[in-house]
Amino acid sequence: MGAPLGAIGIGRAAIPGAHAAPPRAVPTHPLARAPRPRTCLIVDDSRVVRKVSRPMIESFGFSVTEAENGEEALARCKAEMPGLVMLDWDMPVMTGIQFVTQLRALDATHRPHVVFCTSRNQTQDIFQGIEAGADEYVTKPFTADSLRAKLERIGAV
Amino acid sequence: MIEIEVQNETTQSQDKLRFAVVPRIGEGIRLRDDAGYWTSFDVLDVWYQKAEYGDVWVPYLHVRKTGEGVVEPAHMHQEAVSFAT
Repeated sequence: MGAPLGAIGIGRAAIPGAHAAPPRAVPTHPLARAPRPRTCLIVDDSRVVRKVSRPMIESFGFSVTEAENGEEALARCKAEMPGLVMLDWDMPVMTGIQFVTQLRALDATHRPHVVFCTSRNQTQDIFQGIEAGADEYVTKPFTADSLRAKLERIGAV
Repeated sequence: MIEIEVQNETTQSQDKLRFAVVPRIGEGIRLRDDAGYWTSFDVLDVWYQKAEYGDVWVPYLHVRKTGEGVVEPAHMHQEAVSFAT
């Protein structure tokens, strides 16, 4: 007579002769395993755009910080990597493309989502942005709904 | 003439335009919209930033299309934000 089955569960251990398989190591990208924090960095040289997009992103449940250009944003990312970066294209000091290229080269605990927010909407611009390392692209002017849809598509919200 | 960077909340754009005087907060100004029509915009904010080329402070304007209000953040996920047409 075999071992009695417990009241809960019909686990393998209760079946005579069965052995639990050892956990299989699943190879994953080290950065992919770290959870992204619910923080967003808005990078835009326009104070007004930062001002209007901030409440939108906060309404999605993110805590938001701001940077005026790519250089400042990169310094903020080195200090504390956000989960999401909303990025303008044309900025003084360091452009959005330069920023995202350097951001992706950083050895970070997690890979933040990067969304370009710009009035450039030509196909080659979008391609260049994605190729540089951005995850998504939203053209100005954007609405909270359109932004949310983009963020949902990349799993940021 | 005074060159002022106009940061437009409605179009989420910024353009450098020339003015005879610096508009004040609360005033209305007429600007061409994307379709080329003259449209009224409210001046919501005026501020000055130091120019890159020297110890000169240059003005900036924050404008929004007249009649467009700000949607409360709590309702933003339910409806399109009115400043973004």
